[in-house]
Amino acid sequence: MSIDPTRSHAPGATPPPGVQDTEGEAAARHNGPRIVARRPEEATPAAAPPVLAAEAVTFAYPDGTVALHDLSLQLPQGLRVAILGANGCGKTTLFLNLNGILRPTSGTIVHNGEPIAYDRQSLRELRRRVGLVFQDPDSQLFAASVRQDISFGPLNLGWSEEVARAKVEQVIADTNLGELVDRPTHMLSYGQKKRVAIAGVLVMEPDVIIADEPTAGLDPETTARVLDLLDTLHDAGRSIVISTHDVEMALAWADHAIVLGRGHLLAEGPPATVLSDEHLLREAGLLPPLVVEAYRQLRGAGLLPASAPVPRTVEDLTALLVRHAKPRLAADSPPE
Amino acid sequence: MHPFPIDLYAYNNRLRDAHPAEKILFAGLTMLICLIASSPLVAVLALACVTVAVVRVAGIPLRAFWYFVRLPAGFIVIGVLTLAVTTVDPAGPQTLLALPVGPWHIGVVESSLARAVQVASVSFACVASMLALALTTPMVDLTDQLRKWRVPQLFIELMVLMYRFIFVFIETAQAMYIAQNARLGYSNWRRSLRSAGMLAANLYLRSQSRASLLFTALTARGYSGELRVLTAQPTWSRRNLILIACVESLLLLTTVATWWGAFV
Repeated sequence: MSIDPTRSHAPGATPPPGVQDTEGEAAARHNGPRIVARRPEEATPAAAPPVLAAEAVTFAYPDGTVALHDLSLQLPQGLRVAILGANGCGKTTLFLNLNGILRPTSGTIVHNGEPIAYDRQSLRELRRRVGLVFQDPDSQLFAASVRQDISFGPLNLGWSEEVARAKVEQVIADTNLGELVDRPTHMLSYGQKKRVAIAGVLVMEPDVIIADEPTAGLDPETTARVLDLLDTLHDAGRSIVISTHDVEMALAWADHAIVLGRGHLLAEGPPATVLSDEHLLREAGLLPPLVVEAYRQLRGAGLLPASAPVPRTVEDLTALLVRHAKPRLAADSPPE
Repeated sequence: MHPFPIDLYAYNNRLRDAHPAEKILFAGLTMLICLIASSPLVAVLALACVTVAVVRVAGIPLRAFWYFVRLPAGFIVIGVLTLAVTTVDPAGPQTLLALPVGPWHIGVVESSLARAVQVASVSFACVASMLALALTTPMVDLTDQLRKWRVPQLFIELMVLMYRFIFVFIETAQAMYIAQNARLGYSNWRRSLRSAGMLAANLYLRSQSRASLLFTALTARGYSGELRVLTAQPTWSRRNLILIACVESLLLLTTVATWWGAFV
């Protein structure tokens, strides 16, 4: 039975007919939540117009620190984009520029093909459509209860109370925060705060959600929950941009990867290409993902052909081995 | 014990979902009557009613309630001592106690003692009423209700932010204290003073950066100078209103009775 190595599916999902349940998937189900690549085959970054773009953006803080150097990049519409880079590479500064909170020292930010304007009305519209989730949820959550905090954005947009109330309840249902809504924000766990922070942005119905380090400091189960939530938002047609230095997660999760180093763009492209470039990653202060390293060594050992595609998850790698190495090993030692 | 015990009870008591206005009304009216009556009898009666309400109706353990009522006792006792003790005439008919201090005598007379008992009892009754409110009503409900009563926005926003940041600061200060302690920052008196000073200074800087982070995050969600949030829509309870009416009438009648007694 053949296994398509370019496809894998969420743990617990019924495998499509004709696809054998690999051991890797069975293990994933067994070990609880796990990041699994859900790859839209149609996702070709080049074809999608950018929802946001930076054009020759330079940004210097008042103290003279130049955080972004002549940075040009595009965030493709409708994709899951991971921006990778070491601490202090300019990810957060870039995000604040994309949301209009900081204004580039030179260069322009382009939203849906239009350079963004900095008057009050345009900024309000921009901030509705480009939602920013901060790294530290404590800096974002201010209200005394979860429901109140979520209602802050909608009321700022000038929606009527009935509309705001309906949207808030909708988002609470969509993000499974039902059991937390009446809790005070300070009684939430870190992971719960993260989810509330995302809901507080989501309720404003943005086209793009930019999350700064959404999984930093989270345990694997909570990481999977947060990524699941982002995936749900992506399935609803939104573009999702996250920053991270978790190369494994970026490789498995993202449709498009961007690597920054010291405020410069180092690379952008499909995660499998960008994140298998060891030299590039080291320059950015990162290390190649373990699964890519294993793939490289297996190729070196002759167990995988040079034509095998770069795996994005352990499941992918298992599928590659089942396809290429198993027949050879089986030929070496015939089954009893 | 939970780090924020008052909050814990506020979110976990049988009056959690009662209309906040009912609770504000109960606490406010009880305090008002106690202050107007200024009578130890009314105050003790009010204390008893409030205790029953907190323990029986809201289901908060008596020990917990008593613990919180006792907290301000030190302030009340010190305040009241200065009322009880005055300069006295050692031969006066009302003098209960007189101690010679130089050319004067200080001590306690019947009227000063009565005044002290009155102030102390009224203070405790008022503290208990406030606590009954604090222990049964989450802060959100209070600010919601104040919004509905059109209390100036600035006042409510300050309440909201202070409340939220109390917890952020307690957590930050705790983390800093533990980190300092782990490196022997509190191993002797001198070091303790130094460490505490550093902690305070750091907390100030931290609060500055917190404030600017918060401002950035609020701006990203369209903040334009007003912290507007949706308020809950609680329902009135006939039972609670009747109970409140009964207690307050009892207190009022007692007050009138004490006045009557005083005039006769």
